[in-house]
Amino acid sequence: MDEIKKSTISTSDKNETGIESKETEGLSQRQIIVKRFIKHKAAMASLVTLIAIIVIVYTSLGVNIGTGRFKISIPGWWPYKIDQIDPEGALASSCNGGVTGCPTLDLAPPFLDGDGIRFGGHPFGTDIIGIDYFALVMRGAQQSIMVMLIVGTLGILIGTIVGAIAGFFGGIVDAVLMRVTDMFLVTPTIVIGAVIGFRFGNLGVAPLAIMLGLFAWMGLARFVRTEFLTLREREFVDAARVAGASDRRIIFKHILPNAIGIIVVVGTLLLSGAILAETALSYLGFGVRAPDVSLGLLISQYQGSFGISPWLFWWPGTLIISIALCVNFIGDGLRDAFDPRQRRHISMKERRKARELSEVPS
Amino acid sequence: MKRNLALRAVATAAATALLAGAFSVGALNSAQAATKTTVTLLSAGDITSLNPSTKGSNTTYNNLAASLTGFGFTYYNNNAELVMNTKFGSMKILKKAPKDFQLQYTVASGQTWSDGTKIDGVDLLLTHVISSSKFSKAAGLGDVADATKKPAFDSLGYGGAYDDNVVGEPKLSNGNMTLTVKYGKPLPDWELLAPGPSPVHALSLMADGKTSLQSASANAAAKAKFLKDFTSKNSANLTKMGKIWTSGYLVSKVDKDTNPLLLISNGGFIISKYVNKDSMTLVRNAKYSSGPAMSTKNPIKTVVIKVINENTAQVQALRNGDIDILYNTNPTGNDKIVLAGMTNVATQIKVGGSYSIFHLRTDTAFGFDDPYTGPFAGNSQRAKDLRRAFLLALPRVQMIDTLIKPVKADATPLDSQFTFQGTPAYNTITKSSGVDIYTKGTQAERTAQALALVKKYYPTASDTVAPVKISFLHADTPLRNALGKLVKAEALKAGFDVIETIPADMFADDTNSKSKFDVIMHGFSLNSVSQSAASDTYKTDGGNNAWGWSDSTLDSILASLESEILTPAQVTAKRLAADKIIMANAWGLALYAGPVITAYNKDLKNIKPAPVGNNITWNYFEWSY
Amino acid sequence: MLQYILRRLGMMFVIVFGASFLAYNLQAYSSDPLSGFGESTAENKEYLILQMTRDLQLDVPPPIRYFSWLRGIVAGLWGDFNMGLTRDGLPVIEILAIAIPVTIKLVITATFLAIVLGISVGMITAIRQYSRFDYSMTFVSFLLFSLPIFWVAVLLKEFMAIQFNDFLVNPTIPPIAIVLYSLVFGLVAAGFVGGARLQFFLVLAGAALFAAALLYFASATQWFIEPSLGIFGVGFLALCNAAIVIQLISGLDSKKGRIAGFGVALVIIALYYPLQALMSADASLINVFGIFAITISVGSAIGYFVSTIDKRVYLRIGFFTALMSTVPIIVNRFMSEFAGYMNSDAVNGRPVPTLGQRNDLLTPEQIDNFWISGLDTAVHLVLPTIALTLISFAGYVRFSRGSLLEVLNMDYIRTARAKGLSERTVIVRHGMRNAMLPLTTILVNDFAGLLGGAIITEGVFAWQGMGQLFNTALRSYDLNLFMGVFILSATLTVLANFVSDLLYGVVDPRIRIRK
Repeated sequence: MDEIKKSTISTSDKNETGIESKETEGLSQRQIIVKRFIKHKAAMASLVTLIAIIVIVYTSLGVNIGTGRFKISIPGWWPYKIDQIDPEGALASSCNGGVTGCPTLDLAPPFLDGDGIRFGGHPFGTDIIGIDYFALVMRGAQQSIMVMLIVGTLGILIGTIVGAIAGFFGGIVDAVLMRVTDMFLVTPTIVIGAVIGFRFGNLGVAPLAIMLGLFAWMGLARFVRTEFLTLREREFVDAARVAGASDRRIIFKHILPNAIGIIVVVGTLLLSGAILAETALSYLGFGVRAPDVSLGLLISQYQGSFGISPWLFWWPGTLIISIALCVNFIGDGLRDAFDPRQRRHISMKERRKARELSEVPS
Repeated sequence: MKRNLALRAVATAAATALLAGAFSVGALNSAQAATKTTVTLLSAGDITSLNPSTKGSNTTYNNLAASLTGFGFTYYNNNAELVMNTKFGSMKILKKAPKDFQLQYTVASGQTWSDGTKIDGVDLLLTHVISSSKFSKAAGLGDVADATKKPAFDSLGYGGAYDDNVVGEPKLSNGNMTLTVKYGKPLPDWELLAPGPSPVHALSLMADGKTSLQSASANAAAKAKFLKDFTSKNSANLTKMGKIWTSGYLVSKVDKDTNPLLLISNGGFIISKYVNKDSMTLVRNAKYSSGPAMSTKNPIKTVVIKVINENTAQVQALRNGDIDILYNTNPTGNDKIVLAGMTNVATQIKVGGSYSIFHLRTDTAFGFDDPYTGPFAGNSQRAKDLRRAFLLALPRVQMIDTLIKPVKADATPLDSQFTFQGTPAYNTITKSSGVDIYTKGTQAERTAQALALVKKYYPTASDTVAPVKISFLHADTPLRNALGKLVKAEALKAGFDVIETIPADMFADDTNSKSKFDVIMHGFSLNSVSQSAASDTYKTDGGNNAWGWSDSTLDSILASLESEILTPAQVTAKRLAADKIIMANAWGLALYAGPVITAYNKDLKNIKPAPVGNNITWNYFEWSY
Repeated sequence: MLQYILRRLGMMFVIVFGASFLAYNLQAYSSDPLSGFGESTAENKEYLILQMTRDLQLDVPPPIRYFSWLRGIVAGLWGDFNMGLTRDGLPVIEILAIAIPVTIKLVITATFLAIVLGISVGMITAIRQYSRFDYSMTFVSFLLFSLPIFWVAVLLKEFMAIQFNDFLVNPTIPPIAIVLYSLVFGLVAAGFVGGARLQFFLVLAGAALFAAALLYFASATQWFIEPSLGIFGVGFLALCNAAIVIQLISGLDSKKGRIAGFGVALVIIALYYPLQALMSADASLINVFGIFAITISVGSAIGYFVSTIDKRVYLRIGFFTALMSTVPIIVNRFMSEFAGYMNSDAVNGRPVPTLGQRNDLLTPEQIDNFWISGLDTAVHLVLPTIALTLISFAGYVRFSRGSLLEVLNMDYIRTARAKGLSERTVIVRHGMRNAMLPLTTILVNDFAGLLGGAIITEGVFAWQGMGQLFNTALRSYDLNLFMGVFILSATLTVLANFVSDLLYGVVDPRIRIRK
């Protein structure tokens, strides 16, 4: 037999557990998780970035919710609105031979042939009739973030409830719920988009998000179910039962806190999937539609101008990527925080199952 | 620290150079172009049938192929003039009496189908079979009016002007080269009714189960058999042919195994390959003799029609040379600059066959269930004033300047519903139709007038307070959306709170869009230039009159345009009268005649887009490199 | 077990039935087929409306219409299967038969590439967890995960088709670009190899120099217009392949492994000229298979006879080296047709198309030539394959990284290390192999998902596959066509779910399928 020398390939599996336990001595579970999350640099950076994006997006244009008497209007600090036409912005400063206003944003310092760092009146330029593109991008991001949050909330809520019930009660309840889940699973998101687009197209983005949310919970439900299946066999559940706790109390007070890790992790994946699904649907014409704005819609409207006014194409794309990237990193950080030794690893397969929604954008 | 800086510097430099390299456009290669003999056309939608007269989801795209494989009595040229194709034959009015209107068609001799069979008058008879519901019923081929008796020839042609007016059967004479058709009344647009040729012998052969090209004698016999079946109304034989005609031409692909009888053509090209929804390849028809002669210097030998649904993909394909011609009927200024900026591409910008227009709702219209009660309803002074105010507040000049002029620099607002700029009739009509109240002064003055009119009924109205809610319906295209925003902004200053209604499908039959609009901005495209055009849009309960307009004088004007053969001056006078009525009622206002961009491989010669008819392919015989 | 399988299969019918009922009605209520007539100026509009109402049975409420569609499907039980006609009057099944191969052709290469690249990168990042390379790959994979594909497609077409074709007019690379591209390549390579700072810079410098030399060579010889590997290129690649195969299977320290691997590589190089005879213009796919059969049997034989013990190890080395080293020979043959292809009338000097699945202008002779038509397919696949690979690559990276990390934390790995096995053996034999197991179940699901089609990708690259069918069916209210695509992808999805559940049990005996 050949003699096998020690290879140079190295690993990092060096007493990790030992270090961990010393670090977390005397801390509560929650404190440990928070501490670990804070230590995850990429996740923290992403969290800060995401919060910054959300703050800028919502404060710049302000918030307008509802219609008629139920309208809530908070003005923003950005001087232009999405229906405000600035004729000078459009035609006077058009560049590249294009008919759209040039971006006045300039980050190149003078010695690199720039005009110094400035934002100017229309940092992202204007669209073809002189509407400020920064305002449009912000409005689009508001919509996309809203879709993300609604879909995420609904998906997590329904997924957790269905999964918990199925996993906890098992038997016939489980079988029925899981087959219903399968049925939802094979119904393509794009059909939902088409129906909503046709029937409720001009009601705004909320109905779309709600419908998408109603079809976004299946992945999570499966995870929660599996988690519940194992957890309900554990001793502490028996103890609670013996102590006379009701099913509801056992589910919510005893098992759910132990399953929160997987819910958080899969939930973040659902969020990043939702923003991409919205983008894809809007691109296909089944999502958010004019006169409203979303990031996906902006890209599909202006991708044709790529050659002459590429900024119309770059900005919404950059924002989509940034948001999705941040959410993904936060999810990664949360996974590490909840799951330090990666014993209960969320594999990519599971990740993708959890984001069934995002299967549209391929 | 230092190393980090250096690394960063290198990375920055690398990124900059990569970007710079990536964005610089190199010179394009056109050295080999002299040898090119192929043209790749674009179809924005699926080609669904080799027979454009059968029902299908989109005849526009099927016609693209048909325009290359068939030639008949007439075609439209790039000036929207109907050209008589003397190579194919001629037509004339034989008799013009109030109840007896006869047209005579003579097929020029010496033409053959691509399989060598002679083309004659018998080949024109199929038009009668597929257009006349009376013939269908008489020959026992089914009843168009009865949904349970589907006609054997399930065509799109029933119920049109031909069907409504034809009397009896067409008659052949002059050795079957001349066909005479009798109508019950004079038809103003009679030139458009000319029957098209169909290879009836192929139909007859296929009905007999033949799957390959036949000998000359067999072809002649098949044609004679068709004539006999036609004259004797042989129900059984005609039904067999109808089956082939209706579904035989629906194929999912054309390749070596396809029945060549399906592909017989009398146009310049003949289909050689086809994959459903993907592409079609056509090669030269060696026996082409039914139209103007093909260009002799570097003519086109192969045409490919490529289906590309996606807009940006189309533009990038043109730039990369994957397609040779792109015809954009709905361009924005950006589109123009993108296309004009391509070094390998030439562009032509001219007015196409479509015009954009505003129509105001006045009443519950044909096809609607909900009664219309919006601010523009009825004929009261109040409704008229509000309608006028809205039309006055339309920033037409701004709309043209911002969105149409970047495409076509000399665009101006269109002032008539019936004629385009550049025609003598247009000047006559717009001079006295009453449109001048919408063109006088500046937009600010007109908006002020509009506000004054609104204030009569809504005293609270001001240039910031908008008490009149208007539901504004328009289609979801970048251009329409931009126009819509301009309308909204200006109308606000006149007291109108414009709510844009942009359904996925503009004419969808659902309550959200169809029955709940006060004003609609839309485009009409013309398939032909005719005297009676658009009358369905304006007459009481017309099929396209979705706005509820109704005026008896207008109805009678439209009726006479539909049924009398008039001189151009008479037509202009009638159209002026019609425009006057529309203006007096403040029913609507035209916006602009839509410019069309044709962008094509700059080595390709004699591309002359036509506003109506076969937009690009009408003069393929002139194309060359 | 049998009972379980039967019950699951029965359930599948119910699910597909329920989902199809749901989908049918959703789609039926999602649009109005008569709406197209709103804008129509046809004189005989009323007849056309009547005709469509009759043909599409619009007067029957959708829930009832569903059952007339279902009857055609159920009739399949007694051999009378009928998916109905499309709105254009073509049998749905015929349309599907055209679209399925298109979709398979489109996604198969991309999926394969994504799997191979993704798993390799993922495993390396796992082995070198928390290294610079790990961090950058994590970032890249999340970035790719977040990219909308239509956005990527526009960029790819601009830079890799249009600009590349423009570049081919005068394919010389400016020196500054050579420097930059080489540096980037060096950085990536050094990232892959890793190691201490000195090693990192050595690898960087070496790789950069190598890349610079290659680029300079390519630029100076107009390689991009007349690409070719030649015997030297083929030889170099064969030796590289051999090195990789040996390292993975026996380790480069093994003398017999070296003999087997490099020996096979040298034999393949020696076969370079003789094999050309098998690749004439009238060759076909059979010839290609023949070549592989020859090289693989030669390679396996060498591997087999190298050693008297552990024959299987060296046989494997011989087999894989031969397999992988033959690819460059075939590729080289395709490359030799490139210049002619590029300058033909059909291509007109712009070989990389932005869309389509074939060049419709190729002459019959060109189509009949296996090498030219293969090349044509390849250039049409370039952009969509890159786009799809980029998007799905990320998933496999994250998956295999996580999977390997999980395995490396297992006790048996600790045991393997403790008993003194080399790190290579621990990772390759014990780690990677076990990490690959869960992958099988994913592949099942992925391949089932593939047939559903890549809706957006097919749209932007104008490939008329299943995704496009689905999209057009939705838009044009083509219910039968829509249901055709739906029933196929739904059945496959449910089936794959089932199979992967079963496989889970097989692969991991700890998971018991509960009765």
